[in-house]
Amino acid sequence: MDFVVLSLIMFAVGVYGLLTKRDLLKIFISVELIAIAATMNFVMLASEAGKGVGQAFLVLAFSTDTAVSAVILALLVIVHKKYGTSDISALASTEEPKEEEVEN
Amino acid sequence: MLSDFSQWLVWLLPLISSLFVPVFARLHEKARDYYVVVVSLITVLLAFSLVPGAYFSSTNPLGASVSWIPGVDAGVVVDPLSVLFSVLISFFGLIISIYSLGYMKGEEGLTRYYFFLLIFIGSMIGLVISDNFLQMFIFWEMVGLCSYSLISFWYKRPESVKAGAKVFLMTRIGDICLLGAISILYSSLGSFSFRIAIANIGTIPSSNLMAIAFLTLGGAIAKSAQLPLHTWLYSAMEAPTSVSALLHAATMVKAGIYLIARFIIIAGPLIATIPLWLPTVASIGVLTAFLGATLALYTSDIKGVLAYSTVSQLGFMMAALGTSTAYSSLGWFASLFHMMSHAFFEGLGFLLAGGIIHALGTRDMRLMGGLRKTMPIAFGLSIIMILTTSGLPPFAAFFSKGLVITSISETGNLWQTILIYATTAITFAYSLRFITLTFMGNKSEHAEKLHLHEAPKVMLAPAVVLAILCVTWGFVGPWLSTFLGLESEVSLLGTFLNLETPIFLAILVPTGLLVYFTYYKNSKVMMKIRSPKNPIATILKHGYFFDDLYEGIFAKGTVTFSEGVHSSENVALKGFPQGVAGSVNSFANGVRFFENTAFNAFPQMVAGFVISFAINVHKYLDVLADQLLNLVANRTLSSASKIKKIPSTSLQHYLAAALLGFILIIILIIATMGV
Repeated sequence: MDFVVLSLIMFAVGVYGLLTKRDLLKIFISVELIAIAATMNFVMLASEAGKGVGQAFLVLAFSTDTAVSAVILALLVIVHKKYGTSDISALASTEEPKEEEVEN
Repeated sequence: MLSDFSQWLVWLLPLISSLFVPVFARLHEKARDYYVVVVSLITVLLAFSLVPGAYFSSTNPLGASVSWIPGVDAGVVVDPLSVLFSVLISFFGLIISIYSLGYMKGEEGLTRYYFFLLIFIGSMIGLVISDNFLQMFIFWEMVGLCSYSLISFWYKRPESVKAGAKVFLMTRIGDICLLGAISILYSSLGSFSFRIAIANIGTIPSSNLMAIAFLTLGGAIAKSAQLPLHTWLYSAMEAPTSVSALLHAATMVKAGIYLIARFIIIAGPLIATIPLWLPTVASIGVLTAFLGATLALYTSDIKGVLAYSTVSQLGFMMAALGTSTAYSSLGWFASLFHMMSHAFFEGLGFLLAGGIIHALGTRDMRLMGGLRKTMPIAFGLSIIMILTTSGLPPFAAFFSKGLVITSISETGNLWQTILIYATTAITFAYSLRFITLTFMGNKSEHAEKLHLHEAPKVMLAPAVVLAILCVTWGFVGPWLSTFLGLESEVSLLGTFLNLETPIFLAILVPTGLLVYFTYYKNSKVMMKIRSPKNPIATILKHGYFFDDLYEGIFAKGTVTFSEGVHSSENVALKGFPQGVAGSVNSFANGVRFFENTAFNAFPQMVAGFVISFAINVHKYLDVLADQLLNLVANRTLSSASKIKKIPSTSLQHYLAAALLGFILIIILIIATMGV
């Protein structure tokens, strides 16, 4: 059951980062940690059960996760370009930039 | 047989068709809009084709399944409950997609809107027609996602975005409860299937069954906006009105009712043995009905009245379910009967409110008034709507609400009976208030400025259809009771001659007078009660402080906690390393001082030697390396230019290699799946 402890630790680290970090990128990393902890738990339990389905689903989970990460990273880049910061408390209080600025 | 296909297509068709919405949007905007209407029309036909099968074999539910992931089969169950819901959902989907032609005309991002609308219709039907918990849970989540993205449809308005996030988070609490219930059920039975659960429910230990029952109730509470998680439904009113009508009045909020009704079927005779469960359901329902009705009395938001009315009516349904000890009992039927009539009158209410908002551009009822002359059709429909809502004979809710009240009073629980009667009285009051503020009186200043008009025909037609159903639906009762397999007879005459009817009608008089004195006579006593200083007014204004409580405890608590952790982390992780760094620095300084004095000469000597050696080596190596590099580069260039001349098939090679890799992965997956 070591892997359960490991994934629990990863999950805890992720939640900790989610709670304390203010930078969007760090929050994203925390979210990824949580997702990976869940996936790992899933696949390890599946392999304990002795069926290959878990591995097959892992491939699926990873590919969707990668796609999601790509989209989120792209959004992060856009946010950073648009507002010049990726600090969430700063972003919460920023005004919507005018349309001309966005186009540039 | 047709229903063999339609039981799959009825939810697969909208789901798959949703993918083609962007394609049709490319062709033409009109093509996209009509495509959605056509798809929902076909879905309605498919849903209706399921009715005969469920009607003639109500004892033994039909259904089919295909193997999905190992251990779980994907399947559909066609029984009266699922068919009733499917018909309602598909019918409302059609009504709303027609209504949207008028209401959402010229909005930005309509492709997204129609995309989610179709996904919603498909996944909602999928939710009620699934034959196992896992599949149902997936659709349950998809419905929540659709709700979130449709509430935040106007993503440029910060309120919509915030409301969407709030709704998503609050319904998430229920999702977690439901997932817990499903997990416990699976660990007890080793299967997700409804059929196996019905057969083996007796083998589950009673403590596990109790946990399953209460967690399921938790899921239903969050999805159906029951106490104490009812506040999200009011926030969900930031959605376009058509979405509110479809999701937050007619269909999605009924998912919780469906879940409890389904659970009562599954638990069968064991339902009454679960300690405290049925009384809890009934109490939550009655309290929600009462609180929702009182909140609807105060809000000034036209959609807010309808939202709280929905909360209250959902409470009625929940309360009726709480009185049913088996799926063929009166309470179970009364709940579903009221569920249908509520969909009609509340849907009608939202469609009318949409027309008013469309014309006036505001949701504040204090800015309305005197609309009866400029919007006569809407006025007539509103009268039907409020008469049905308050349950006056012979409109639909008279029969259904009467049955709900009968089923509650039959249990002999005094406080619940009193509260439910009080709620019906308050229902009458808020309905009257609704129509008084919007249609009666003189035109407000805001309305005077605008050139008011009746809503376009495409918006009125669905409302008229719903109004006709409001009037006629009550008479379907006896037929519906046979369809749902109710044991006792439900007769129309019996409802009229019931003892409850005169009490029910008599109780409406005082609240009617109350509203009359408040808004027509401007009675001073009522003004005093409504004045903002009065504690009752303050309580109602804050919605019994539920939101303030959640905000104060959970939102603020989390922020404070995370800020506390953040700052303590700063102290720990920045202060401590600084201390360590400082001591390391001073230690290093000491060592350097010692070093400088002791070994000053030796390192300099070594360094001088190394440098001179390096310079010499560099001289000779440089020449050699240059020659070698030039040689290689020339060779490469010449061979590259040779290759260039040959017509290249490398692209095809790449493709072939990629394809081969893909096939390999597929084979790998298949091979591992086979193990």
